[in-house]
Amino acid sequence: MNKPLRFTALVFLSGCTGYFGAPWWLLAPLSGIVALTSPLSQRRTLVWGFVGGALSWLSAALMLHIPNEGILAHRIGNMLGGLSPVAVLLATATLGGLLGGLGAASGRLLGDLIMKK
Amino acid sequence: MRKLRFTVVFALLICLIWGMYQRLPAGGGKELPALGPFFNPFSGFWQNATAVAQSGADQALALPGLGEAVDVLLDDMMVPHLFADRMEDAVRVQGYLTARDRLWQMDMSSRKTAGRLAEVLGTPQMVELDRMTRRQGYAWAAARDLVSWESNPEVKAMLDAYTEGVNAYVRTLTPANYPLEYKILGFAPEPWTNLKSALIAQGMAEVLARKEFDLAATQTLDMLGKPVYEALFPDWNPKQRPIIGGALPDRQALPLTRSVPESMRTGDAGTRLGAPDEYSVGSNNWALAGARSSSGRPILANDPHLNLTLPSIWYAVQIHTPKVNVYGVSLPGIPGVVIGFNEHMAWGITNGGHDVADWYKIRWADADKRTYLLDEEPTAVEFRVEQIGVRGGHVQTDTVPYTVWGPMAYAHDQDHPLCDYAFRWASHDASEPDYVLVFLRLAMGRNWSDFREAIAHFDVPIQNFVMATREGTIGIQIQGRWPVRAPGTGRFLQDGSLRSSGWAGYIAQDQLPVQKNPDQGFVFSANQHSTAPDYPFYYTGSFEDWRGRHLYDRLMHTSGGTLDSMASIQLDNYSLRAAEALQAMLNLLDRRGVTGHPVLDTLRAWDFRYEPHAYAPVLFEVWYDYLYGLTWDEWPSGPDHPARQTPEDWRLIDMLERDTSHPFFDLRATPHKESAGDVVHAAFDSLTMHIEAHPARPWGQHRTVEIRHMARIPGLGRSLQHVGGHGSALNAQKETHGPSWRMLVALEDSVFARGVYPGGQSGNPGSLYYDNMMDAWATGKYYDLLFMKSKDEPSDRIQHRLRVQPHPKQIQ
Repeated sequence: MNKPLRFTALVFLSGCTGYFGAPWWLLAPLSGIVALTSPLSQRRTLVWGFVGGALSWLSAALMLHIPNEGILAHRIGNMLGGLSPVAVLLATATLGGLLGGLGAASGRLLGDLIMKK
Repeated sequence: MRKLRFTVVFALLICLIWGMYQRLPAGGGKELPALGPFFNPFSGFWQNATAVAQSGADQALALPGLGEAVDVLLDDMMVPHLFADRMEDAVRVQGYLTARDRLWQMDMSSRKTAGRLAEVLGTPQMVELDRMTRRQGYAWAAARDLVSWESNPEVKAMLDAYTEGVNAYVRTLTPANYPLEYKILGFAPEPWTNLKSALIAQGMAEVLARKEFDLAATQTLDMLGKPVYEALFPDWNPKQRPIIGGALPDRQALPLTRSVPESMRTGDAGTRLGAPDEYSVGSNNWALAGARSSSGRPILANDPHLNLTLPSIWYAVQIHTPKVNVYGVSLPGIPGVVIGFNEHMAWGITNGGHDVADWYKIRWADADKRTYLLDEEPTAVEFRVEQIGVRGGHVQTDTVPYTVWGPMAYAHDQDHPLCDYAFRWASHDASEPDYVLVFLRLAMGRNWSDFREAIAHFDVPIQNFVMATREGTIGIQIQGRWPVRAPGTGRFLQDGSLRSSGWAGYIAQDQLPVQKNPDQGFVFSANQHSTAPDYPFYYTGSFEDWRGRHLYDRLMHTSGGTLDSMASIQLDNYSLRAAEALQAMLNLLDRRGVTGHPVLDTLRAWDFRYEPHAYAPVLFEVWYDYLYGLTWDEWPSGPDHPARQTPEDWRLIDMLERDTSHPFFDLRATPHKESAGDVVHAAFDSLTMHIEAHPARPWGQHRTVEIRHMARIPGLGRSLQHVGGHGSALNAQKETHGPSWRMLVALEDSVFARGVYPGGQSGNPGSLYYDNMMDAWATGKYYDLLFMKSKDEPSDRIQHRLRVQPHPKQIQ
């Protein structure tokens, strides 16, 4: 498995710990640990961390959204001022992505600091 | 540089996580849910998205306290059909299932009546609402009800079973599977208690039996003087058709007056009056005797009109035990079925509308207002301290004075006209111990005497109970606590220094109005007067003037009645108010030679039906609204003027028909002397100008139907633009109030029924069953109700089965 793919998969799995009851913010420190142990370039860490986090939240949401035929996303979108169900899904993905991306980037930069010392 | 980069990125991450934990202000005192927990797909709102396709697989559940296993069959409308060996087990499972579908609704309803909304919502408006709720003693009364109920071991056992059933569900909850509204509003469910059931009942009493106009009526009486007041606000509408007949007052004898008080001809003109509030929480019910039905067997119909909300007010359920087989709608939070039918009998209810709430002026014995005089005896005020919890842990204390009459709700506001008044309400008296058993006994009822025996313990609110049996009996009883009053009292503020001002108890059960198998071949009610004036007890209240008359006409013209023809009555958009008013208005306009206007052509062609596509109802309403305001232009109104009563529609229409030179038709703004024809013409000119500025839309778009979420959460309600009906039509659909459950029952050898309500069985906005019946309801369709005789009866409508067993720990 190539390195970015493995990295993204690990961040994705970090996000999936929520399935076992882990708190939502744990995605960020776990992504950081992934970045410490599987270093990519800083930019790639941020991008692939974002992609991994976004995919983990998006896929979990889609697994509920599709059998629900979008009923809830439609109502939540209306509650939030008229967002479409797709926008609600994208908002979910973005929040997961930000946690994964910033978590991974923090880990990567922390790794740099430790290495320097 | 590396350190700086790390610090910046790490700080951003911390800010992100902190920000995702914050509830952000959304304006108007509202907050958005915290984005992190809310959007987290593993425990946030996404978890409330339930699959549209049901698995169909049988499920099992262990419930503590259960005696024997209970089988639950869920049909295609998600109505649970409970098959139990004991009623107590059925009620326990009813509690569990109702909580599973409606926990948040139950929680909020009980909190509202308890004055505990600020605990979880926290806004200053909620603190104020809680304060006023507590000052009116609702929770105090609910606690008294519960003491009374629990004094009967059978009632206590039922309440305990229901509560434990609810709590068995509450215990399964984790933040991930909280009902959606808890996640949006950011609080957690709490255990159910028997007190909360009492609060739900008290809340219903508030909705149905709290209406009074004592202050407004007294101020109006002061303004008009007695002769004019009595002329404009007579106790009886001679055209009305009471529930139980008798001689009505002579219409010609309605007092007329030729004077307008001088004070009303001078002084500041107020803002223009709008038409008076239509009857808001009304209902229709009737039972047709076999002589008028095609089957030769009775048919019963009921459609209670309430404030329509989502989650829906009602929860449908069937309960089957060796002694009972009942189907109907329940109120989430209370065991049993409120409106429904069994294999022998059906029953339905409408609101009585009686005034059972009065205000009494306290005569103080000391300046500190700690002692008051009662028949010249100094009597100590009792002070009750209310602790109002506010979200975040803060507590506000409020001390409410209580007198022999009841709480003094406005004692804290020196500027309020009711500052020195105490509030007396029938629902403050402890409820009957057997109140909770009323609906469980109705479920078991087979005949007229079972019916009367069961409802004898129903106290507040006064309800018109209609019934029909398979054997052919039909009947109606007006049931509840009717204060025994001195004639003429109850409409106005009263003297609280004399015990004799109070009620002389309640009318005895055997003297309440009742009617069985009348010759006319039907019994009916639509919130009109209970009786004719020859009933030996005086009573007052808000009684509907149009639906009852039209319902009587429809039933009198019914022969060979079927469920379809009864449905056409429930869905009837014809308004007698519009018919009588418009005919009078057009006659007056004709006499003035006004013709040829397209608006008039539309109005003349109107059949007085408030159909959603029709324009005429909008034209009529606007015209009538102008007419009403111009006629009563002597009325001071607007926020700077004290509360006033405004004459009812029927009174104005009566004047248009036969007293066109009444001095109230004279317009204050002109030096001329106007009559009804002038005012109708002026109102018509206003209508035509109004239409030029605001082109009319069809009725359904003009008066939209707003079925809001209970907590007014945007996006979780429904707005409908194609629904007909009007408050004065049998299909009494207003903007926010309307038929909350339409039920039709054919009492044939095998009882069958149809029903529909605006919403669905699930309280979860993420479920298809949140509002799956809405479109059928809005378009006047019904569902066949699946009334099962046994759990083994084959039905392709059963979606899945749930076997509820005693909890294993309990068996060991």
